[in-house]
Amino acid sequence: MDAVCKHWPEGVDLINAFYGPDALVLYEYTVDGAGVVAVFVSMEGTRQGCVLGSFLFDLAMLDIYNALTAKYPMFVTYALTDDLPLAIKPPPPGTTVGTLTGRSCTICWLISWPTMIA
Amino acid sequence: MLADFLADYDCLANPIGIHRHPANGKLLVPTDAPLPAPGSRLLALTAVAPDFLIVAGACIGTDTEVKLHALRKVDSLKTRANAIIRLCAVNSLSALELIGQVANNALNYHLQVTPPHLMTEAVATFDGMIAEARLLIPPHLTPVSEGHPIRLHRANQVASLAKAAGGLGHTTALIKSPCAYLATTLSLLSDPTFDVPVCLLNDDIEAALRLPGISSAIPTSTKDFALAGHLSEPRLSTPRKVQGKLVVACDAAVRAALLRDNPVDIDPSDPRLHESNHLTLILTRSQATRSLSASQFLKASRADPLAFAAYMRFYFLMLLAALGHELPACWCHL
Repeated sequence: MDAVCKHWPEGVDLINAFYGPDALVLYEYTVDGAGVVAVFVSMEGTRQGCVLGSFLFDLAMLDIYNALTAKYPMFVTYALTDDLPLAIKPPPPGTTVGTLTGRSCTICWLISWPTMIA
Repeated sequence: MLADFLADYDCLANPIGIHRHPANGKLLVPTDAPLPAPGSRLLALTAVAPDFLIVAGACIGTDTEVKLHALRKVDSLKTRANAIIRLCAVNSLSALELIGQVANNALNYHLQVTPPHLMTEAVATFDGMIAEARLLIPPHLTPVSEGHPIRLHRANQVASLAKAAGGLGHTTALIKSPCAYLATTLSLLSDPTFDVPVCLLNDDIEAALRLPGISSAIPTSTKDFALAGHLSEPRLSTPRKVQGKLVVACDAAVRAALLRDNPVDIDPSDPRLHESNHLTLILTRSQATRSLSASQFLKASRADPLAFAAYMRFYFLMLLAALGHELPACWCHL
């Protein structure tokens, strides 16, 4: 909600209407062949199947991505929702990189991690 | 510095409930680069992938791993193709359509994001899988191996043509691969967001252009392109549209080759000839049935003009070509 308030103030009432109340999540499982329906309350994160889910997630991540790209301008970063591929340009030939073993040489890293909402 | 980046990410994201997945966040180090020192801070924050990693569904890494990843993808699609084949016991027409619409398009994304010269083995396997599935659908068909190789090849050529050209629309991955990759590359190069130097992609582009089918199919001048009708749309704004135009150009080359190579010399005494003709007929009739039955879903239940044109073209021209009859030269423009 903080991100919505900051980046999309016009949408605060709308998102409050959708996400203000906790959502009931139903799930079914079996115990000794008998079907059981259980319920829990979803209190945080975007909701399964919500058409605004990706958009709201992006809003929440926007400040984080902006802060990181501002602090590390030497990294090439392109984010797509929860994917943040990161390419690190190779250092000049002959540069010694202290955290690496072996001889120093042209190095290029590429990492990617899908994030997970805990 | 990378360790600092990851630590900063965690510092910013964890308080709002977002955590990096320990199994998915990986660091790719080129094969000729040294690995992070054992016990270093970086290894505590991420894992090292020595050969490849998957970014947005695309495999990035060594050539060997990219090829293996493509083969694994094709292998995973066999389950889908087999499920569709089982459907033929209920409705063979739907099964045939699903082979074209679902199974044959299942590799499209990988074709867009993988250099074609790294996809050659996977593409051959995939096209073979589709061809085999296509031939297994008619339930009373004789085993594929009994067909004459030339007839089989011809039948598959017919099936790979666009529906408007009298085919089944099962465009082969062999044609789609370079077309899709070139279209995606052109889109990437023209997108100011990415600012990718052309030189980084030159090798892959040249490799795509050298593949059989592409070098002979793509018109060499804008005039040829215009004469072939490929510039009828004033704007080719999306990669799919560019890819579509390239595929149409290649399709035209396949169709021209199909007509040009007739008649086919097959020994009339070859015992496989009869079964091979049966095979070709099955495929062509499936196509004709598809063309005409498709309009049954429309409210007016009248034959769609394009489908009817395809049907006429197919039965008057392509079938003769498929069976090895020499066509009058004046028919070829149809």
